[in-house]
Amino acid sequence: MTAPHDENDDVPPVLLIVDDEPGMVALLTRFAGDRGFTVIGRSGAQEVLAELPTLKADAAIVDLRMPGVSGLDLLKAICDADPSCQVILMTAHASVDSAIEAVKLGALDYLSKPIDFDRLGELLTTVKRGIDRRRLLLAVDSEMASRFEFQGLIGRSAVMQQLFDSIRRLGPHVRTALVTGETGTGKELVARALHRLGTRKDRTYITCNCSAIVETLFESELFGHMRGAFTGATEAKAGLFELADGGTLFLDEIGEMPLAMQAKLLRVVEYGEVQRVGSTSPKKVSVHVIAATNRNLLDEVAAGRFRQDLYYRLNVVEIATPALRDHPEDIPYLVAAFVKEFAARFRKSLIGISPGAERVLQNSPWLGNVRELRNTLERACMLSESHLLSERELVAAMGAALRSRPAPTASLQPSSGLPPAAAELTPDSLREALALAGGNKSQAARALGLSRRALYRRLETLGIR
Amino acid sequence: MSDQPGPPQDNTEHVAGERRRLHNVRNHLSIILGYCDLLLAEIPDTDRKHADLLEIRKAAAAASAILEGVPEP
Repeated sequence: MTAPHDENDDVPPVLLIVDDEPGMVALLTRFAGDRGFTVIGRSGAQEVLAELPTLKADAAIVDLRMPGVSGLDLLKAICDADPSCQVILMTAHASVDSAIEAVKLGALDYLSKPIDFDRLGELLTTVKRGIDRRRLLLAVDSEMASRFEFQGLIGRSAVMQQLFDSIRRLGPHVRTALVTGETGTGKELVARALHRLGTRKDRTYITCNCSAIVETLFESELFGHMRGAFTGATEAKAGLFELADGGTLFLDEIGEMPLAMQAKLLRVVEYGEVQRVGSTSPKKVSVHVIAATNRNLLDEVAAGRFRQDLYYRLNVVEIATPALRDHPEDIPYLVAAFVKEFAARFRKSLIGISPGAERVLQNSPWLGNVRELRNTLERACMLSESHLLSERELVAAMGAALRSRPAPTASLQPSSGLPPAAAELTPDSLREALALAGGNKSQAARALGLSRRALYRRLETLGIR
Repeated sequence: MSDQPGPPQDNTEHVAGERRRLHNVRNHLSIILGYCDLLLAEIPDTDRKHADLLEIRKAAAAASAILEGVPEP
């Protein structure tokens, strides 16, 4: 008999041994311990049932015949708790029927007593290799992920590599840029990457989410105000443009910016001049402007909601981030990177995901793109109790997301090929969305792909109550 | 679990008791054989304990073989 001790076992796999005969448990513990397993030995099946969720076993050896709970029941319970746990059954009575049933129920193998230890040794080696292989796969995937990682963006697909390439080429030259793409595709990461690769990488980088600013405060927020310029302006205040002077200002959700502000923005971008509210003299600033939107701005221009001249000024450099459904081949790398990140953050011993969970991830539509995938994995990792993220933990995490997501409306159908927000926002469609949401404005806004504030603004503009 | 069945009250109980005893004997033999194997792997065959262990193992294996021939009650 040999003791094949592997080198890459920094976390030894956990083996659960259940037999009503304590002498047997001791023997198997000694045997498996020599083969690189951390062994949990139990001589009562009933107590094991109760503590199964906390044991986090990677594999188990279970006696078929025990008083109280049968080995088959325990096998079922173990497989239910964690389908990736491999179970070896043993019995003093070799019976073909129970052997077949055991394998049907998901047992790895079936040994009769007296135990053939050479055979058991081989089985344990197989089990350990399987676990090591999955660990290695995750390590390889996350190593690949880091190789295919670029400024926080991950992807080895052609579309993502093209994106990285554009950013790399354009970054050093960009003064104004427009980043377009669906929600959750990483527009902000692209903007940040452009800044980091640019000539101003050591200067200020400021983010402004246009949908989060009340319309009346827009001008003062961006350009600042003088003392006493309006009620409440007790102090003079610099705007974001002045704060970002010499650096980069990222204007997220530029499609939500009111038309009047768009005109003023154009003037800054064109002439590099800002004027604080209440001031008569313009001030020179040098700011690189990167704007982002999940809308189709050309449609917005056609509908008269976005200034054509500003659009053409911004889209000198236009970078589009692809939807996740256009590069599903990147999902394994994204998953590996996120699992590694969250396992570390939540101090879990997670080393990968089960094949079932992998299938679920690969087949989900991911309307919310990489952000949705990331959030889902964050929740699943938080819930996870074992070394491998199970399908069940994943589905539970996805279920939570589905419950918090509003019922899809016509404008949310991905088949239209347009981001939801690009759907026409006519007074009728707004009214319809409101009616569908039962008058709940937050919910209607979500369904339309707008922020609540942006919806209020639209309603106000269109005179809808 | 007791290895000492009381006087059989009916046949089912008797059979169950017999089965349990057989199960336990196999279990104990399994343990003896298992420890023999573990020690045999650790003790070099130049050591005379190795030969002694082989004797224990042989006897346990013989007992086990006898049990193989015992029909399930």
